[in-house]
Amino acid sequence: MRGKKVLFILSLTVLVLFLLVGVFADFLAPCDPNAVDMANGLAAPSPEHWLGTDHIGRDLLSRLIYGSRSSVFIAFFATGCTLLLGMTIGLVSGYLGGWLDQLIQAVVNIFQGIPSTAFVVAILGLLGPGMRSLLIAIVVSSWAGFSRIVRNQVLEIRELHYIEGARAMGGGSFYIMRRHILPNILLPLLVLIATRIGSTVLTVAAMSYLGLGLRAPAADWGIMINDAKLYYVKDFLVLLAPAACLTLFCLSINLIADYLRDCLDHDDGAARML
Amino acid sequence: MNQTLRYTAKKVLWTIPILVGITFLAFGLGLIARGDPATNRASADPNYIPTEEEIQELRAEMGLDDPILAQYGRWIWNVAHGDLGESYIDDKPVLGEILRLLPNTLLLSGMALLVIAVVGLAGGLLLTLFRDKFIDLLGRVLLVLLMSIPGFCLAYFMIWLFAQKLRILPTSGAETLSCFLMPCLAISIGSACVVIRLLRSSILGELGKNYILTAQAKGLRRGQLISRHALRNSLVPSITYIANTFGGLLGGSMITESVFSVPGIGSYALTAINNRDYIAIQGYVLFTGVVFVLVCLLADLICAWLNPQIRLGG
Repeated sequence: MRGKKVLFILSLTVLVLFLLVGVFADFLAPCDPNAVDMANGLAAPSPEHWLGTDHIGRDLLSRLIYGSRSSVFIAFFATGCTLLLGMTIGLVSGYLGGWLDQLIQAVVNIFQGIPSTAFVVAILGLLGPGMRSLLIAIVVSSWAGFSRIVRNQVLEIRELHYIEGARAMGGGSFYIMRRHILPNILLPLLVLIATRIGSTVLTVAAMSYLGLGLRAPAADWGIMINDAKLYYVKDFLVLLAPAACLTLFCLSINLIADYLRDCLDHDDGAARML
Repeated sequence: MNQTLRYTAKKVLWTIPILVGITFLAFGLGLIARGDPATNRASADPNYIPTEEEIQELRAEMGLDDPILAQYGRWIWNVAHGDLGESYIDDKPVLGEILRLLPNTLLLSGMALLVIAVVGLAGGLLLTLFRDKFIDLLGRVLLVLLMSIPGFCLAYFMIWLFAQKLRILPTSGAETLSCFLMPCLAISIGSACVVIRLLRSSILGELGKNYILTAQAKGLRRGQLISRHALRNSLVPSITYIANTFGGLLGGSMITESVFSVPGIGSYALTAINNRDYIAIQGYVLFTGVVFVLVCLLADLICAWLNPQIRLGG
């Protein structure tokens, strides 16, 4: 357990670093991420370009730094939106119950009936590429799963005595949901939020790689991998750098989720993999 | 038996409204598509600029001026007769094209399913048998690492290693079985790792229960405890996960198919998207949705068969 704690702190540090790098990209990046220098394409690492340059001479390190801005920002923002929508719907559905719950669950089942990659790709294809479409696609394709888990959590604690007590004291539905139910499901939800952030980063990168996410000159890890696919045989670093960033990000998210999961159900061995 | 039948019937009947809902969703996606389908279709030929009247005529011909419900009714009527419409670009029937490309996707996802199930099961058992020994610890670290590598990055590393450096596997295509080896690994390794972890934790959870204690008291060894008692009860979460993954893969793993240029459903969808071919996208979403729901239904039934608590309790 101690080893896991060290890993957790390490992962959290990495995650925070990614965030900080994203926020302060303007100060940290040594060059303009879109400055083209055709004469200096696929250059090896040097004092001017620490990681070398890509096929049209753009500084690889600067592109990585700006890439962490777009990936991390979209991942956090999209997860936040999904959380807000999914949680509200799940809370209402689970707490109020009755025909409303039945109706919402039917809609949830329908939205979950389409595999998420296919769903995201279809929405992006119909809306066209771009940041806004990416956000819409991620939220529309993932709110349902979120709300279902929230609902199941709510159902578990709805019948507990302290909720009954709050109701007996005359608390309204909204008050009980906000003050008594929400705080108690938030912690278990953290695991889900962590894994969702990881998978959203992957979705963003994959869609940008396919040319459906962010538009081409933008500095984004997925776009960088797409750019690299014709040149990595000559210069492996152009592929390795963005792939390593993606992997490192996902690794730290997975380790964080693992640790949180262990903390939550150390007595219940059948850890729920969300 | 009666109860099993009732459970099955209930599950099957519940999928019907879901399927109907998916048709709404697929149709709705077509409605929000950017741009006017008639204009898109009229300007499919880049050398010809259509006039306003021609577009209007086409709109009327395609029924785009009708109320939405009438359009949906006509669409669903055709769908019920196995007609998902024709592509704008080449006028080929969408369902026919999907079915033509399906074998490649089916082969790819079938191979992936096999790898995920076999590696997941064997790995999960191995880690539980050697719990807290060196293999278990090393394995768990490796699993998290492998799980974290995005599939398409893994795909490029494999191309670099097996095709460029070692030159033992082809980089793309779908002619021979060896073409499918790398794509299959690229999509299955991450999921296999998840299954190993799932299985490990659910077997360990199961081993803490009282009936295992009883079996242990009767003198069963650890291996027997797992194989005779714990395994069957621990399979449910893994099967649900595998079915989810498999269902998703059947819808085409666009990313892997695009990296390795496998002509499957995923590539078809990507082409359709690049052409803004909304009939094809509609058909594709409907097709994947239906397949996904049916695969999940099958998984539910398998789980109920494995664990009577599910069919008797629900």
